[in-house]
Parts: sequence; structure tokens; C-alpha cells
Amino acid sequence: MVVGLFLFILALELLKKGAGGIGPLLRQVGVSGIRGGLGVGWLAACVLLSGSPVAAMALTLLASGTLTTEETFGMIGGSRLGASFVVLAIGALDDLRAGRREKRSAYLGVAAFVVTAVVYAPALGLAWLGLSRGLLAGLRLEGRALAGFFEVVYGPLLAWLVGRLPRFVLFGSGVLVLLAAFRAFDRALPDLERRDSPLLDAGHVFYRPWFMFGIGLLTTALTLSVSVSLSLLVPLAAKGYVRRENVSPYILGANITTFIDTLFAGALVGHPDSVRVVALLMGSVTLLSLPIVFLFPFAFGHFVDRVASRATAGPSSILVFVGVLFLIPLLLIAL
Amino acid sequence: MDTLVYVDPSPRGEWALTMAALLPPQWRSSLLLLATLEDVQAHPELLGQARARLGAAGSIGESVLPGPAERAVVAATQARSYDLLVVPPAGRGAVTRMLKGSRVATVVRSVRAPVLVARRPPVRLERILAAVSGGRSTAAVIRMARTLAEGLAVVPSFLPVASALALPSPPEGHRGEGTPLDAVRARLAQAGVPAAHLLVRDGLVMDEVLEEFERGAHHVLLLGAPAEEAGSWGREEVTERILLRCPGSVLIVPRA
Repeated sequence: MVVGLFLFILALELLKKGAGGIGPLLRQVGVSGIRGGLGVGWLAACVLLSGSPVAAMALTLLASGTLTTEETFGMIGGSRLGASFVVLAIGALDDLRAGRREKRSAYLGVAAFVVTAVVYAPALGLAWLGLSRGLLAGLRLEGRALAGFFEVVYGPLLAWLVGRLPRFVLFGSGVLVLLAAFRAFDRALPDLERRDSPLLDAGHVFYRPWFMFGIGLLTTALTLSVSVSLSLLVPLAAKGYVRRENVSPYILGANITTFIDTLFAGALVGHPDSVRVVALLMGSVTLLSLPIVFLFPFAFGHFVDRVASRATAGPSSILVFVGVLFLIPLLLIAL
Repeated sequence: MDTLVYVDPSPRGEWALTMAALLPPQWRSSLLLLATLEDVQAHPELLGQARARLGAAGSIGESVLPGPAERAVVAATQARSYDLLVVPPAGRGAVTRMLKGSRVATVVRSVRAPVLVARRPPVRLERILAAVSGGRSTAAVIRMARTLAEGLAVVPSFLPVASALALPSPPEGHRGEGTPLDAVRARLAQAGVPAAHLLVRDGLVMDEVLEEFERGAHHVLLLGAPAEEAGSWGREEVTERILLRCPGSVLIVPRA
């Protein structure tokens, strides 16, 4: 965990120092405004197979002045929408490899995307409204108080690298170190696959939606990644402890606490809007998730199951779904 | 067979009487009509009219106990054991149910006998659907469905729902062997039920059971009684949810 934290902060510093190098590239591909940010965040999360590093990158680009607050907001939102791609990709490849015609593994990835999209689309609007109206304008987390400490720990290494490497290489190194940091976090976690779960016997009993929502909140708060916390469903589901009924509330919970590391990154990069953007997104997503979990969880679960079942009904429907998953962010960038 | 029929003066009470009249003759060989003291005081002719509705049945007894309904039914089953209870739904809305609880769910949780919750009875009882999980109540549900079907000279259908998540590369030792569906198949084979009577659906348990019930225009749905661990912290029982949402009659079967 200490190694993970060391790498995480180093990655943020590298990204900040190198951010200016990719500014022209982002402008060339047409990243402009909230739509462009959304599209780039979405695509980047699909390519990097994780949303958290993309959100952290967006904040460093904001701190270096490469992206505006509006574009950063879009990129963080987009990173969450693209984050479910890794689960979908692994499942779809597994289906292809096994030549499976039913009980498709891609189901979980599609369900993750649908749950995220249904909540995040209105949540982005709500958070944007709050941002443009100056809500939480004074919110600060004083991560920069640690600046002196970071200067002592990272200063010599960063100065050496900045003097020798071009800025876009620094940025690329930052991305790689960030991925290594999340990998280190994953390794620090207990291996649930090798343990007998203390959870429940199958039959006709399932977990209450609020309970799975809590488990999703907690698991993702510990793993700092939706893709990691979703992959933790694998051993539990394989033993029959977690079933389709449990998926939606779990993802709803995971989608909230996945912002914790982004909030931490926001505090560290030191831009006046960085923590505020993340806090508004986190608050909006929470506000919209709670009624689903407590008032109509079964209707929502039914909707998600129907969409995921249809989208994974056959290889062609999965291909169409993946195509749409990439087409939307490309259109957002192009428009 | 000793059957208790709860008699209710509301229009729903008629559903219970009609369903009781549609049961196989051997299930009606000994009937007890139960009403609450409050209902009998308000409607003195209540039990007499019910007796007239079931006139062709075997022996018919009457009992009056203090209400509310769920307390009277539970008290009657504590005084004597029954092979079947027939009750109408209370018709409580979501808000009242939240405040007072579900009347039929209370009865199902409190008694050890099969409970038939009568709703919108058909002209003839012909289409029987038994939802089975492969769990501990499966054998009892299969047995009850077969007994009921034989008494009515019809063929029951058995429905397991696969709600497991399909996963990429499940851990070693969990690659599909010993699934609930396998358990259902084994139980049906033990009971001598042909595989053709098995309907397998994939999805959310509650949705799939209710959809199959409506799709097949079934008249009665058999379910296993709530598990003992149901309702404990963080857990929920599918049986009670299906019972409250099913548009037709539901027969809840306790474990053997």
C-alpha cells in the first residue's frame, strides 16, 4: 500500500510536469468544451482499461492549465463511463474463446455500463448545474500543505527527469507509473478468490439492495477502482453467493466511492476547482443513486437485466454494443 | 385431508371459497371454516353462506376466533394441525403493508402447513406451475405439485430460474458443476418427473417466475416456504416478494 501511494503521488507529479506536452495534441484531436472532455475521458478509460488513472490525469491537466475546468469535468465524467469497458472486454473475449452461446460473461460489463450511464447522464447535468452556479465554491482539501514534504521526497528525481526528458515523454511515464500505482494497490488487497466466503447459501434468498449497495461502496473504497471491485464479484458469483439480483445495487455503490482516489488526487494537484469538481460529481451521483436503491431497486434491476440480456444475446449484439460504446465518445469529440 | 379455509366478508373472501371448491375432492374431505369473531358479529350469516358455497364437500366444521385474521389463523393451527390452509390476500396497499406488515406473509412465516393464497380463481384448476430452486424446499414442492396435479388429473410444469452470473474464467473448482439447476434435475429424476415438464429460464428469479406464470396462463403457482435465514440482516426472501406480486393463486409449501 505504501509503494502504491508513493507511485500514485509520483505519477501525479510526472503528469503535471508533462501535461503541457500533450496540450497541443488534445487540441489537435478537437478536445474542446465539456463534450470533448467527456469523449476523451471515455475513450482513454477504454484504452487504459481503467477510469481512475484517467480521472487523475484530467486533474493534473487542469492544474497545469492544459484543460479548462469544463473540460476536466467532462473528462472525469467520461472516465467513469469508459471504466466498465474492461469488464465487458474480458467477458466478451472469454465468450469468444469458449464459443459460448448462452450465459454470456459479457453480461456483467454491459450491466456495469448501463447502470453507470443511467445514473451518470443526469448526474453530470446536475453536477454541471452546481458547478456553473458556484456551488461548493469555497471547498478546499489542503493537500498542498504536503508540498514541502513532496518536494523533499520527489524533488531531486523530478528535477533530474524534467532536465532530460521531453514533456510528452514525462506525461507518458506518468501514465505508466499511475497504472503501476493502481496495480500496487490491487496487490496489497487480500485475495478473495482463495478464501471461502462467509456470505450466504444460495436458494431463494438474496441480499437486500441496500446491503449490496453498502458492499459496493465499501469494496470500491478499499480497492479504489470499479474494475477491480467488479472483478471481486467473480469468486463470490462463482460460488453462487452473488447473483444477478445483486449486481445493480453493487455497481451503484461502487460508482460513488470510486471517486475517493480522484478526490485525493484533486487535493494533491492544488487547483482551486479540482476538489470541487470531484465533490460535485460524487454528490450528484450519490443523490441520484439513493432513490434507486431505497425506492425502486427491483424495477431498476429488471431494466438493467433486460438491457444486458439483450445486448449479450449473441456475438453480433455484443459487437453492436461495443461499437456504440466507442461511437458515442468519438461523436462527442467530433461534434 | 384436513383443510382450513379462512372466510372473509370482503370480495376477496370469495376467492378463497372458490379456490377451496376447485381443489381435488380428497383435499376437501374435511374442511374447517374459520372466521374472526369481529367479522361474524358484523356478518352473522358469513359462515352459513360459506358452508352453502362448499356444500358438496365432505365434512365441514366451523370455528370463530378473535381477530385480527392472521392471529386467528395462527391460533387455529396451533390448536390443531392442518394439511392445507386456504386464505385470501388482505389486499393491503404498499403503504399499509409497510406500516402493518403483510397479513399472508405473517401467516406463511408462522405456520408449518402449506398455505394457498387464493387470487382470481379460474373456472377450472388446470395449469400448475411449481417454481423450484434446487434448495432445501425443492423436494417438498415437487411432491406437493405432483399430488395436486394427480388429484386434478393434470400435468404440472416445473420452473427453475438460473439467476447466477455468467463469469469470465470462474476460479478453479467452480466451473458449473453442482449448480442449482443440476440439483433440480436430480430431484425431478428422483421423483420420476419427465424432463419435458421442466421449463428453464435465465434471469432475475422474481421476474422470470412471474413472467412464466402469466405467459403460460397458469392458475396456481407453487413456491417453497421462506428459508429460516430469510429476513435476517441484509437478506431478503424471494418467496414473499413473488407471493405479494403474483396475479394468481400461490401455494406456499413448507420444507419437509
